[in-house]
Amino acid sequence: MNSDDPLLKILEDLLKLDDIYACMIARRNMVSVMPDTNLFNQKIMDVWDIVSVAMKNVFGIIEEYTSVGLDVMEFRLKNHSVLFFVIPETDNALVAIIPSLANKGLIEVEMENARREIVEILNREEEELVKA
Amino acid sequence: MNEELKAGVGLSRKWDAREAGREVALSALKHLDGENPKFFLLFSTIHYEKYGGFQELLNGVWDVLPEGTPLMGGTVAGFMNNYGCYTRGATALAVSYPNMDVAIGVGKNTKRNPKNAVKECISTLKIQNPDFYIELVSGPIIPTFPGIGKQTVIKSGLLGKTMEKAIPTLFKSNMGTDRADEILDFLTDYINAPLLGAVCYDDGKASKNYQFYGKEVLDNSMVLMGIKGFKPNFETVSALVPRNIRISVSLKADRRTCTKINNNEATTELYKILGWNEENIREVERFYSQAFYYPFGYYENDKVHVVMLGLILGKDVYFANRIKSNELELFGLTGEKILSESEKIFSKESNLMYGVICETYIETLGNKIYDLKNLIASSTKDYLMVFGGGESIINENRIPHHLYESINILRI
Repeated sequence: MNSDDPLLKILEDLLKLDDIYACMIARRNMVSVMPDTNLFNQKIMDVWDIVSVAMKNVFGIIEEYTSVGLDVMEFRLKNHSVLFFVIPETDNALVAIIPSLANKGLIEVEMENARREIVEILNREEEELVKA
Repeated sequence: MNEELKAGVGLSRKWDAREAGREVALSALKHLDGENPKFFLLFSTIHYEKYGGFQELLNGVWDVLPEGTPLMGGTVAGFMNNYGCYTRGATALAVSYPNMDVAIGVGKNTKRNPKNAVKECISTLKIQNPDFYIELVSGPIIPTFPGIGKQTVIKSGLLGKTMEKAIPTLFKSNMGTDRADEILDFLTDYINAPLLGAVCYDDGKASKNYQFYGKEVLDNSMVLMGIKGFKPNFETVSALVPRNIRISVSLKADRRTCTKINNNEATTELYKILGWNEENIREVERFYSQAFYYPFGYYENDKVHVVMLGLILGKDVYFANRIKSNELELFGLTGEKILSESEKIFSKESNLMYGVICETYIETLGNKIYDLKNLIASSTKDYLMVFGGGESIINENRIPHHLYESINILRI
């Protein structure tokens, strides 16, 4: 993954928001795109292991229900919430870890904008592949 | 008239304040076909404070904007425009129309002395008989109490009493509630045309907010734009749902501090009515975000005047607004109601729409706020809707109404 990757840039933009402690594009058992973890808020480190395990289980549900329109999922663990914005027609999701008392509505708007940008990039890449 | 009126909506998502200022101005002005704007409304989220500062944002705008253009604006929780819905970035509305006069007034120290701020604002507003007004007022600042920090719930009765006594001092220090309802009442004595106003805000933390006036960045101020040359249509809808729960309140002289609800200790009775567990620390921590969903209100001129829960001060409940009645009704807010009420206002066709929506709408709808944007996009050519910490209107009959959980627009 190089720093010019447009998907990485989207994630790094999200990470600049105070209440997004960590974010990535991931699917079951695999992180697809993840920023430098040094950019993550240190507050998530004490829950990182348990959150990672819980995320794997959630991706099982995402895989199963994406085809019937699963759009957004959230779980709350200790003092954190984990938001999953499913990337349509894939089993990937944009994932963000936020404090559970954050203003989730405001964050969701920027998560949605990020998801739209990701979809745009993926579509463009697919078109270029078809042309090639 | 519509052919001669040109409007440009701008957007910048750049992080650097100066660059964002330039980009938002350029992207708004490019739609004016080379005409100079008669006014420029600028809004941004609070993020630029950490990425160069608001003075740099304004400097960036003025790198591009023709000298002397009347500019006003402020920080908001988010905005919705031709490009999308955002809770980070800057947006602008530039309008040009040959037969239009515009002037802006400014009043400072709105929390310390709203009456004087209004007087100052009116005295600096150099325009005769405008057709309408656009107003922006500094938003609430949750105070930081010495030794306690930033708290909206103070459980100790003794500390609560102490803090209650400190509230007038907080106002003097330009902290506390926005007093936008009082400002609106004072303004009504001076103006003879409809007004649409918003309360500036940050990202929901109520820590700081700013107003823009020409080349100046201000806080604890109000800015008022008078516009003469055309008359837009004003419309308002509210998504509040009465919950058929009425309460009696005993208030102190400030009409904000409530000592009794239904003749019982105010705090305990409030928690009982709302079904909250006072002992549950998590619920207490969430007080401020939950409180928006349980607004109380009273009726005046057949309209619901909403009063927001502000602070819990020991046994007393402190409301963010003055209460002009001893009886309040409990209301609720749901996403479904927001969407159905929005259809009423956003399905009508128009060329240009500027509006003010309560920040709770984003909190409630989250990414579904795009449903509102899609409604507007299907009926309106150019639009800018800002999400603030409260909404103010004065109608054609000079009746003021400060609102929450509402959508208020002017359209052409």
